[in-house]
Amino acid sequence: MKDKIKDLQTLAIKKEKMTSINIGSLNCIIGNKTILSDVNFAANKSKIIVITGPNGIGKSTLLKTILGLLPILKGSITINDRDYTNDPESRKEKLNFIGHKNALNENFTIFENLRYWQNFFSSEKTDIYTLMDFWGLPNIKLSTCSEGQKKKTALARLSIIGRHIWLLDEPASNLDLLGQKKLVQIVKEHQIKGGISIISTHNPDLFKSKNVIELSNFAPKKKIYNV
Amino acid sequence: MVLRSGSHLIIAFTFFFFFSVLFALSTLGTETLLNLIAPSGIWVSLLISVLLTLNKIIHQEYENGSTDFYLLSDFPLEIILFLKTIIHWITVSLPMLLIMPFIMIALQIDLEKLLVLLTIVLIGSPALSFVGIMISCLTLSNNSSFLITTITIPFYFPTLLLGIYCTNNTDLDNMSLAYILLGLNTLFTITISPFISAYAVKLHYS
Amino acid sequence: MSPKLIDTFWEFSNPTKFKRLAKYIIPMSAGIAVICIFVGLIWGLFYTEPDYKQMETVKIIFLHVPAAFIAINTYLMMTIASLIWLIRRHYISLLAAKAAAPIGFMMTIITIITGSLWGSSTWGTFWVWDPRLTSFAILLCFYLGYMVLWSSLNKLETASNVTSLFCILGSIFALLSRYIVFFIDQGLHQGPTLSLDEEKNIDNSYYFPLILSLVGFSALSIYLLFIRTITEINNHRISLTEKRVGKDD
Repeated sequence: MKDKIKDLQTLAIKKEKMTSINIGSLNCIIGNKTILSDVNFAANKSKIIVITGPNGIGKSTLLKTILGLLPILKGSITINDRDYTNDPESRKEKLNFIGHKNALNENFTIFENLRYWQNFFSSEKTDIYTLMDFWGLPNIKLSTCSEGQKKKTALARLSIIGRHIWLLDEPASNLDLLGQKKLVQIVKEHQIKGGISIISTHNPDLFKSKNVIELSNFAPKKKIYNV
Repeated sequence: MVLRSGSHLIIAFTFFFFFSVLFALSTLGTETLLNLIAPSGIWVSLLISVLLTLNKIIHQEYENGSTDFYLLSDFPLEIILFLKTIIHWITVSLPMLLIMPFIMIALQIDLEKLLVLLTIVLIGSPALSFVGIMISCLTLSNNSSFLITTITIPFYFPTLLLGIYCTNNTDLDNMSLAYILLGLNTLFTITISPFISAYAVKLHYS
Repeated sequence: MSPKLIDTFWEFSNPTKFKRLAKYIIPMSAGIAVICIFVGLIWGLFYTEPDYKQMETVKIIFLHVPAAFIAINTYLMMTIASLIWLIRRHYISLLAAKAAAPIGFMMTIITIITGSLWGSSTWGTFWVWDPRLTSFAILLCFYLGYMVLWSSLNKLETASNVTSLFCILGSIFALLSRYIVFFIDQGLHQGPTLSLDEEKNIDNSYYFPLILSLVGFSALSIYLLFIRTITEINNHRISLTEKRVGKDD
């Protein structure tokens, strides 16, 4: 019995050791323009990294580049000591994402949307109703929801998908105070489980993280507005 | 995977019925004229219905960001698009197949040819859906239905030509070259469509 | 092809070298075009005997055949250029394909119009759905689709990739349609007017002016292509500089 517990513990520690992400000298490119150059940061397990910067500096572009939606022409991304720079397919399988668009079908109810994504990602069957209770979401058609409720549904999908590394692009937008508290709560739970969160936000105090990266340090010297 | 078909089947049925009636009426019921163009009536109605519904397959999901998540998931994008096209085919072409007898009556085609016509449309219609999604994936960032229609029409020529030729000459032997070509065309489009559509979707992310 | 020749070809993907090449080719091709078309047309139109059946209208062949030749070859050139863009990412080939589209489009229209004018006097009809004409109608649709696609998408990167894919797919489907139409209906056209082996050629007196006209049209299309490509390169550079400088300057 004790051996079994020890095995489980070593397994848990191994799993925890598994997550680390290392961004080296990454250039973020949109269209033909390099909007961020030589972005460098690293995160081990249970770290929350907060990315801040003025509007249009490239926070979303950085997250999308890490995610693999935008190509990488210069720099490297290493996850768990394995280089994933040229391999966006496998890289995407380790990441979870919240973006500006909610990726929800307006004609279905909240429950149906969450169940659709649950079937899609074939994760462990988290109970959708508990999630909806946690976020305080009624089971109504999505087109009749407010923007904040849609955002909460998208955040609920975060917990459904799971995965170790979370990339959150302005997750607190449209949320009321209670919603923001719940957001901090799930990020903390993720942290306790050993996951990494990279969050871009305008409100760095919300997450009480020591690792704040100011993106204007990586932008070119001239003023460049969002093209 | 949860089936995402909207229940527009009743609309599809009524569309085909009205279209065939309209088509027949447009020739003022003169028998010879209707005999000549009846097969094209079938194919044109199928074509229009496919063209009108093409932008519902993937465009909405690109707009609301779901394609990001498709790329994130373990399922390859090709399989997702393949399944979507099959569902599109079921909701668009199957109604036509089901009310084929009524269409044939409206267009004054002999009912003895029902089985032959059914097989022809069965073999030829998937090509329409698969080519449609292939080309509509090229225009993801622009949700204009007019653009999709304009761009897709040239790619329908092979299927249309073969299909109308086959329906015109339904007294050919079953294994004649025309049928084989129709089947080959459909197989070809089904094979290349998922890969090219997935490639086209990923192109929109750069 | 020896390795040296291929390397010199790839060198022209550098815009500056391309412009230097263009400086030579543009006046040269313009000269050839003017001379050949002038001489060819005048010789063909005025100094050859009219055909016994078709009288003078057959002389429209001097416009029709070269235009058809150029229309098809331009589409092939666009396909190859699109492939080069997708594989090796040279901007020149992309802009060349974009530039070639209106040229090919106009050539197709010239072919169709001259063909239908010719057909109205000889076959009694302006249009008939036989293989050659149907293939040209399909080619017209593909040119139109390509140009519409270019103007409809906003971001340059996506537009370029998407239009290249469209062009390549279009060539596959156009070829497919051509053979299918050929299968369906043998058509009204005679055999090939010009072939590489000179057995099936028409009468010698028409042959030379036709060749001249063909060469002239090719030179004309090369001239137009180079001019348009240079314009596209310059446009592209202007837009890049605008982005770099920022629109508030």
